[in-house]
Amino acid sequence: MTSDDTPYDLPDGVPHQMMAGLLSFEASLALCDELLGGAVPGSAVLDGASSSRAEPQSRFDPLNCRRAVIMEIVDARVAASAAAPTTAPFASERICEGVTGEDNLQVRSLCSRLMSSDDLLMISDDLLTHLITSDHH
Amino acid sequence: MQPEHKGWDQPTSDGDVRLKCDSSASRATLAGVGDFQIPRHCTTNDPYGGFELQRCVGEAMGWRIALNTSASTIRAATCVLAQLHRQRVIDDCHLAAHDVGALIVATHYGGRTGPEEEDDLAATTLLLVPHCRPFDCSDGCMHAVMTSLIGVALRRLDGPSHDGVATPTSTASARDSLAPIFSSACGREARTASFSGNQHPLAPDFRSRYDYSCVHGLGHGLGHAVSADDCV
Repeated sequence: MTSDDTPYDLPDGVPHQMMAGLLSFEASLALCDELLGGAVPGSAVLDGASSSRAEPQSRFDPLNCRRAVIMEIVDARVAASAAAPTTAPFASERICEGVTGEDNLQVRSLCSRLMSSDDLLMISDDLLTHLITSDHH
Repeated sequence: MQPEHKGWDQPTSDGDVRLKCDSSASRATLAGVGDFQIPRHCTTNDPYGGFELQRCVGEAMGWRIALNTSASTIRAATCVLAQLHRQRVIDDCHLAAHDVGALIVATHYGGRTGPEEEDDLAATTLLLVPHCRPFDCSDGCMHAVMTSLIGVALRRLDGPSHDGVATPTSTASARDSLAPIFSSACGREARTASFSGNQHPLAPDFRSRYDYSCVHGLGHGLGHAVSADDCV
């Protein structure tokens, strides 16, 4: 299932989507809540949800959004750490604040370990694995 | 015996459902990628079907459809990637699907920054997102498309950079800018389009999965906009 001739003009690489610095960490989490929590004026989705055929707000779970935010940041930190081992460690407290309201004890436990561990790769992989497998797939 | 559902594989024992890529019923949807072949250099660089091969295949597929992006080519691309994964040609397809999603958005908006593009983000979202089907490649295409579209929206808000450092966007302006994207991506119209014509018995699960994946994609996009340095 291969071809000798590449029929495409391949660039040097996929254009990466890096846009770091456009939002603060707290702002990204707040946007999860605001966009999904029903406080968005002019949102067709949420306007529709308040109509006579309303759908449960739980369709849009802010915690799901928050988890994805954290996964992205953990992932970026892992990459940065791998590229430059002297990269400063996580401000773990802030990451854990991101799961405020999380009632999953495993996530809380992982967050605590994150706060107390220097092993960024181990913890982040563990955390990511849990977050990915907890209810994503 | 379960009835046949046109265009779909039967549910597997674990409840998964997959769009057929190779049946005559769905062959028309493969227009543009049905003859996709993995470029030789991909297997040369990674003969074991690992990470590099997956990215190389995703990149090749992305460029294959980037200039011919439509609902059918997006569906076909993700479907073929999922099939390559099932056939164990590549060991996973999530990141390959990511590359497809990133490339189609980058191509769509590449070099297009004029005011005439200001209002089409929601429409573009509706064009692209629903056709990155949940269940294929762990939603990699959908997440990458949403991440890229959110990036386009936030960059428009971004003021002039100073020494290459972007100015963080206010939450209010970001919210106002992203709400139409979220509405388009996760609203009923998109969700319906995602499984239009589907009579599959697992349709309720599909709807739930679509909602989950869409919200998760929003989070990925928001997280991607945060500087890694902001958490140190």
